[in-house]
Amino acid sequence: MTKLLRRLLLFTLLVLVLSSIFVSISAGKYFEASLTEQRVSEQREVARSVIATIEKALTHGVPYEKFVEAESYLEIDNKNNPGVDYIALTGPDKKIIYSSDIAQLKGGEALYQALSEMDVGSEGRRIGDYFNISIPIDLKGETVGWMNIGAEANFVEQILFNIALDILTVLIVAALVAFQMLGPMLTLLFSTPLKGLKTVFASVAAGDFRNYLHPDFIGSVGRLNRSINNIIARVNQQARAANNAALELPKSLLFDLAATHSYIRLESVELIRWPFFLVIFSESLSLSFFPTFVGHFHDTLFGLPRDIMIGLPITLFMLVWTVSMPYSGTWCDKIGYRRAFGFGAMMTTIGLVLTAFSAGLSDLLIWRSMTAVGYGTVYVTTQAFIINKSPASERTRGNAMFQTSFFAGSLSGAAIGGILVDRLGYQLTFLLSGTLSLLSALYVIWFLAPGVSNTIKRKFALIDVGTAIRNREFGIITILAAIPAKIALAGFLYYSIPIYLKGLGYSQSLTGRIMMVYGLSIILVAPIVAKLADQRTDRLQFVVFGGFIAALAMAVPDVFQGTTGVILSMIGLGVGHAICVSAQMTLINDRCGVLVEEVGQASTIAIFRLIERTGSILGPIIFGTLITFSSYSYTFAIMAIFSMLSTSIIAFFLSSFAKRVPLFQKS
Amino acid sequence: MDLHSRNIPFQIDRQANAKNHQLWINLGVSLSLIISLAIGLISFLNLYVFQKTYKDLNIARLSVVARDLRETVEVGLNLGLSPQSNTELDGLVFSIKEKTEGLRFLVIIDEKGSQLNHAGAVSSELEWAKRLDGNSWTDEDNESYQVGLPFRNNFGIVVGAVIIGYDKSALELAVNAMRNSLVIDWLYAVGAVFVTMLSGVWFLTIQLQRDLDITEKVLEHTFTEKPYDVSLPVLGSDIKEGLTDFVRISRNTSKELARSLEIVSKS
Repeated sequence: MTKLLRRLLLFTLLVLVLSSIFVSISAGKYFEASLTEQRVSEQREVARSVIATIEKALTHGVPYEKFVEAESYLEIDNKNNPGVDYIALTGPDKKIIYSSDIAQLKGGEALYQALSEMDVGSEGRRIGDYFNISIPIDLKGETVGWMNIGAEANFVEQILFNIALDILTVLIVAALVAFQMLGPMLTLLFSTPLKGLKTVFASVAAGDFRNYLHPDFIGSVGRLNRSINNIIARVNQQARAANNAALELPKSLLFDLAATHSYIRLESVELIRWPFFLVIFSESLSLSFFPTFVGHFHDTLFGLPRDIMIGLPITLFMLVWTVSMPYSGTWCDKIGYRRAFGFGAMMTTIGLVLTAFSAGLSDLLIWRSMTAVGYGTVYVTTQAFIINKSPASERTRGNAMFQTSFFAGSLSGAAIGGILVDRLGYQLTFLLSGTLSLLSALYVIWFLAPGVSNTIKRKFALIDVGTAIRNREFGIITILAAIPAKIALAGFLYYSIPIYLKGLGYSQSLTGRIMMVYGLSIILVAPIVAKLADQRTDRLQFVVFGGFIAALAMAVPDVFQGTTGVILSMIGLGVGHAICVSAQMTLINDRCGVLVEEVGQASTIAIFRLIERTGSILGPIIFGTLITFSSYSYTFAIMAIFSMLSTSIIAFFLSSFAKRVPLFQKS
Repeated sequence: MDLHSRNIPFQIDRQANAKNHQLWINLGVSLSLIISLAIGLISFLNLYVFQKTYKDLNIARLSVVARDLRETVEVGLNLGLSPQSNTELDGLVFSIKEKTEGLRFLVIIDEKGSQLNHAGAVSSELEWAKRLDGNSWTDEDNESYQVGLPFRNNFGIVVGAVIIGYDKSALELAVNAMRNSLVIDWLYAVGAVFVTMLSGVWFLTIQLQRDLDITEKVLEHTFTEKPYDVSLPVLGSDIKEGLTDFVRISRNTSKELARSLEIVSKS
């Protein structure tokens, strides 16, 4: 069956890639034709402007060959129009009479020569490294000369290259969305019903006829459920008849004598993947335009500068999200995953819908806080669900799935949100976000079984944070592995890289694309590494190895200059975090069983996330301070050394501690 | 004889199975829908990329026009001619409007935002005077994208601006044409995806379909036939053994209960 699933997945990916390439190449061809023409028309516009002046002089009787200061006029015009590299006027004999300073251009002499010898015509053509347009200069219907205007020929290639990058980005986003849908779908069609069959067969083999399979509406393997249920129902019916007739039933067998018809509800971690992705996606839709949206609520009553006011809802969201997580975690342990996730997604929905109708800054702050509570609840519940429902042998893979879904949702949501808001406006985009979040709530209510986690349930108290930190393994993993990872993420990736690239003169869109490499590296590498990690008994090696890679990655821009260094650094940081971040959570579960028992599964996760977030707060402050008082290269080197040291300390201490027995050893 | 049902005396009733959910159709259609959605998303995002690039290129083109006009205004100012008294400007403004493709309007304003010369349907919704801080700007309203270039007098003081409006409908025309092309390509791709996926999934799941048919038949005959030895290569040996045990235990239990009930009813 695994072989079949793999084949189906590969086949689907093959068709997806081929069809995506077809629509992308086809779009690229249309763009090339249309946009090149538009770009050339800028050159034509400059030419028209110059020719108008020349023709005016000619109509005033100034001979074409005797213009005064024509070359300086052309030079000024050339400089005023960044899309033009040279302007040259030739006589009817094609010899150049006036021109801007062609000699200072790259290959200027050859260009000068070529312009003097070429056959003129109104069509654009390539001359060496330049794209040239020739336009006739007419006086009373007679051509007295030609105007040649040109720009570096690679402007067309540059446009096409940028479009190709955009198309590639789009292709990646679409593939991420499709992939997030494929996994849960194949699980619903194959893995879960197959697990159901195995469970009911095992149950009957143990003499228990009390469990039925849930009615199947999808088809595939689940179509057997009806026949199996009919058999069990018939045996139970006979058993009830025998029981009613006061006959003694076989002692080794169990029957559904009360006709309760209880169903086996099967849960796979894949079940929560799609709704989690949807919530992250829906919230991330506003990432790209949120500051602009907040800008509309600039309210002088608050007396805050505009920039601070814009940052306020974002900071509040992060704060509420962080603070609410431990409480949400305890609550999730108490009421169960289905209700907690459903509540979280509903809160997110309400928050997003009300954000769409915000009338002022105070409204907005309330609705964003509400969204943050919902978002935090979904975040913690999902992670707790994955850890609780994954067998110990697959727990790192579960965490990697959580990580990949989070980044896939954030990346694709941010990429699509900016486009949607341009087309739909703020209000409709927020309403769409709310609808997606609502869909995830409905999905979870439908597919997830009710029930609570099997850890202890008690109210969260701040003292739990102290208890957690006092647990030496928890303290070391959180403070020396999780916090530095967040410092690198927030300080290096989100804070330093954009300003570093801006300083190097790169555009915002290129910066965005380069930063995407980090998320993509995680999405691609995390599942593979997690599989390896699950085959090992101790995930410490992964936390250490990933930590070292992430540390080295921060120093890469010091070695390789420009975009090459930054891209390599993004890949390194992504790979490093893919290796260590998923393993951190599993390592805590492996090593801190006593703590989990004491404060609860979801609460432990929430406390871990809460402490970890101090790294997100400290990151920009540390990097900002170091950059201010030193330079980028020193900052990157210092932080790389800091990360190396913290990782080395973890390796030393955790290797020396005896391994604790994990609490949740599931098979 | 079916390879996988050689030990089964009954035939797989294909007609009856057709009434069941057809695995390859359900799966093929679902997967095709996901792929169609993904490539639809690609086309949608590409259309946006086109729209943005097309708009930027046109604004760059119109900026040339605006710079040209600003230069004329500043030349006049250098000669002591204000835009109102510069007799050439009106003609030039109209001439540029006529000759430039996609230009909705062209207007020269003074430092208070009052219109001095204009051609075309000038937008009245925006407060241009507030934008005169010495820098060029871009803006938009329902009908146009605008580029504003301030001009200065001999003392370097901003005394007005040239504003050009690019017709949004010109952009929409180009975008609509591109959208149609992309939609047609998407439809071709969707057609090909459905055909490929349905046939591919059918081919890949033939054996699974057979396994499910056999399992279903075995389950249907639990109480009427003896247990059969079946081969389920795709579902696997776990399921095969589980099925055999399930059928055997259910059948024996049912028989035992039936016998007990029969004795009671006879007595």
